[in-house]
Amino acid sequence: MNSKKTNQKQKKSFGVDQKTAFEVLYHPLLKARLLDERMIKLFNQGRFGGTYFSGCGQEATNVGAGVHMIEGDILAPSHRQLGAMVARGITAKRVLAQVYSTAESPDGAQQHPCHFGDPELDIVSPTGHVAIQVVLAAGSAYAYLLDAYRKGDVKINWDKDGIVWAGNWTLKKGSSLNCAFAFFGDGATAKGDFHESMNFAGIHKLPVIYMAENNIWAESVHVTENVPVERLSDRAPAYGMPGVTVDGQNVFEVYHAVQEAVERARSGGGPTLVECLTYRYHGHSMIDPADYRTDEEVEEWRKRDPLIVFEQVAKEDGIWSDKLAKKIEDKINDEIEKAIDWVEDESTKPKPDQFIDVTFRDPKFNDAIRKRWEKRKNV
Amino acid sequence: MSSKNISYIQAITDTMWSEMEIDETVFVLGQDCGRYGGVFKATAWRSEKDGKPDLSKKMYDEFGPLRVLDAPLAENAIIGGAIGAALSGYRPIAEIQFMDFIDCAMGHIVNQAGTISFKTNGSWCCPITIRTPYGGGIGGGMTHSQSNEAWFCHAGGLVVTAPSTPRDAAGLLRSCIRADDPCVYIEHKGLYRAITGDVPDDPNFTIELGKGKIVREGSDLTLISYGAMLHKCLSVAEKLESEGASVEVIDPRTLWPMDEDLMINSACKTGRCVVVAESHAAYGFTSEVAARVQEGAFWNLLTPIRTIAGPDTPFPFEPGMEAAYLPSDNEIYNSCKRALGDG
Repeated sequence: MNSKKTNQKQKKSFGVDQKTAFEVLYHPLLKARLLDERMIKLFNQGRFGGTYFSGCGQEATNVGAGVHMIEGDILAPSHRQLGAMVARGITAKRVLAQVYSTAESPDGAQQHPCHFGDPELDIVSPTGHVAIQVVLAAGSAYAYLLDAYRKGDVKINWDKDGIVWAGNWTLKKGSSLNCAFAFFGDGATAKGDFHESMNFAGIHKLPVIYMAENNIWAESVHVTENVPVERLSDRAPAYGMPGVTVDGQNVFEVYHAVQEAVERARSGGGPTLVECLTYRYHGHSMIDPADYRTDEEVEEWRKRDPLIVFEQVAKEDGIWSDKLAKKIEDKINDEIEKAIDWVEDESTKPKPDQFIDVTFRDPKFNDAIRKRWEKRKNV
Repeated sequence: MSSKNISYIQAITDTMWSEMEIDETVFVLGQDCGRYGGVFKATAWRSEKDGKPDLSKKMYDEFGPLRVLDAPLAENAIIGGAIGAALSGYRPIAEIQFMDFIDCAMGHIVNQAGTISFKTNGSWCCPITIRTPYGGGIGGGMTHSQSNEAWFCHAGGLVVTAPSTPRDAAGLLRSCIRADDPCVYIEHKGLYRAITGDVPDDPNFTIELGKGKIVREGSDLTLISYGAMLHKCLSVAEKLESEGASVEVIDPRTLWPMDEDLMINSACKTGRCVVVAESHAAYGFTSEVAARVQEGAFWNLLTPIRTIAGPDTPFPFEPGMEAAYLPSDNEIYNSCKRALGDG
C-alpha cells in the first residue's frame, strides 16, 4: 500500500476507535469464525449433506471489505465469503437454512452448502464456475453508472472531435455511486472472465471493488502455477486501475485499503484491485485432505490468525477490551445455538418437487415442465 | 391500428428503439453496436413513415453512448455484464455479433442467467435479451453460419425464440425485452433484408412467448419449421396445393419452451408430419419435435414422421457445398411427397 510518509509511527489500526473496532469489525470477524467452526463440526457429525467449504483463516479479508457495503451494493461471492456476508448482515439462521438445505433457504435448497446467496441482501448465489461472478459484478457496476446517468449526474467527456468518449465521464460533485464487490481467489485470476471483467471495468471506470483473495492454493494448485507475476495486484495496471496488496490477516489493514477503494469508486474514480494475502486452514472442501501442502505452512499461517492479529493490533494501539470481546462472543454463541436449534427442530424440508416451479418466472413455462414431470411420475 | 411495411431487420431496430423510448432501463450493448450501428445495422436507424430507414440519426445519436454501448470485443463481458445489470434493475439487450461466437459466453448464459430464478427460489429474475444472428445461406462459412439454438433449448432455464417474419420479429422481441426470464432471440441473417412484411404501428404490440402459429391451414400433412426454412416450406406447400395436397404449415416461433400441443394437435388432424430445420440433426429441433409429436399423436399418424436437418458436420463455405448443406425446396418437397404417398 502506498501510505504517506510520516515521521509519526503509523497506527496499525489506522485510527479506528474502540467502538468501531469491536462493533463493526470484531463482531463479524468472530461471528464468521464461530459459525464456520460450528458448521464444520455439524458437517463432520453428518448433520447435513453435500460437502462444506470452510472460510476459516480468510475472515479478515472478507469482513474488512464486507462492512463497507451499503444498501443496493451487490456482492458477487465465490465459496468462502461467509465473513463478507456476515459483515453485510446475514443472520446465522439464514446461513444454516442454506447449509441444511431447508425450504427456508434463500436458494430454496437448490444449491449445495456454501454456495450462499441472499436476494434480500443483494448477494448473488455463486455458480461453481470460478470467476463468472467477477464479470457479473462489472455488469452491476455498469447499472450503477446508468443509475447516475439517468439522474443527470454523469457528464460524458467526448474527445476534441466529438467522436470518441472511451469511458471518459465525470460524476457530478456530491453524487455517489453504488459499488459492486467481487470476491475471487488467486486461481480465478488465471481465467479469461477475470480479464474481461477487469478490462471492461477499467475502460468505463466502473465502481467495482475487486477482492482478490490470494490464499496460495487454488484447490491443489500453487499460486505460482496459476500466476506468472509476483503479486496479483501487479495485474491491475494493465487494466488502468490501481492495485494494492494488503495483509489479509489484519482486518484493520483490509478495512482501510477497501475504504480508500470504495471512496474512489463511489465518487466516480473507478475500480480497484485489492489483493489480500491470506490462507484457508482447511481443504478446498471437507472432502479435500489438503495433503498437497505442509503442516508447517498451515501452522505458520495460524500464528497470524485474523483474531490473534486483531487482538495484537488492538492491544498495541490501546483499544483492546476483554470485556467487550467476551460480551460479543456470548452474544454470537447465543445467536448460533438458537439458530441451530431452529434449523434442526423447526425448519422444514423442501417438497421433492419444489424445484419444478421456479425455473422460469413465467408460470406457464413451469406448468409445462410440471405437466411432463407428472406424466413421468404417473406412468 | 395502422401498420408499416418493413424489412425483418427494420422490425428489430424499430422495436428496440421504441422499447428504449418507453423504458429507460432498456439498453443495448454489443460489439460494434454503437457508433457503427452494428455489423448488420440492427442498432442503426429507425424507420420513417414509409418504412425506409431514417438515415439522419442512429440509435447511438438518439440515446447516447451509455445506452447504446460499444462493448469491448469480449463475449463474456457482454453477457456477464448484461446479467449483472439485469440483477441491478435493468433490461439489457445484448448483441452477440454472430451466433457462432456465443459459445464463448456459454457459462454465463447457461449457468448464470438460466439459473437465477432457480437458485433464488423464484425471488430474483434475469430479464436479459440476447439477440444474435444465426443461419446459413449468405456465404459466411464455418463460423458465421451456425444454427446453435438447440444448445440453449437443452439448457433448461432459457426462453429461445426464432422469428420468421417482420411481424413476429417485432412482437417476439418486445415480449423478450419485457419478459422477466432470460431470452435468447435468434435472428435469421438471411432474412434480414430478404423479406418485408406488415408490422403493427403499436408500441405495445407483442406476441406471446411459447405460442406457435399455424401460418397456413391444411388437412393432409403438417409441415413444421422456422427461420429461412419456414419460407421454403411455405413455397413447397404452395406447390403441393397445386398438386392437390393440403399442407398445414406451423411456425413454432418460440423454440423453447415449445408449443407442443399445437404441433401434436395438427399432426393428429393430418396424420402426417415433416419437420425441417437447418440446424444439426443430432439432438436437435427436428429430433425433439419428432419425439414429442410421436408421443402425442402416435395413434393418429398414418405415416412415419420425417425430419430434414443440417448434416452433423461443421458448416462448409464453398457456394456449391453451402447450397448442398442447407435443406432445399426439392428435398422438402420430396420428403412431403413420401409422407403423403406412404399413407
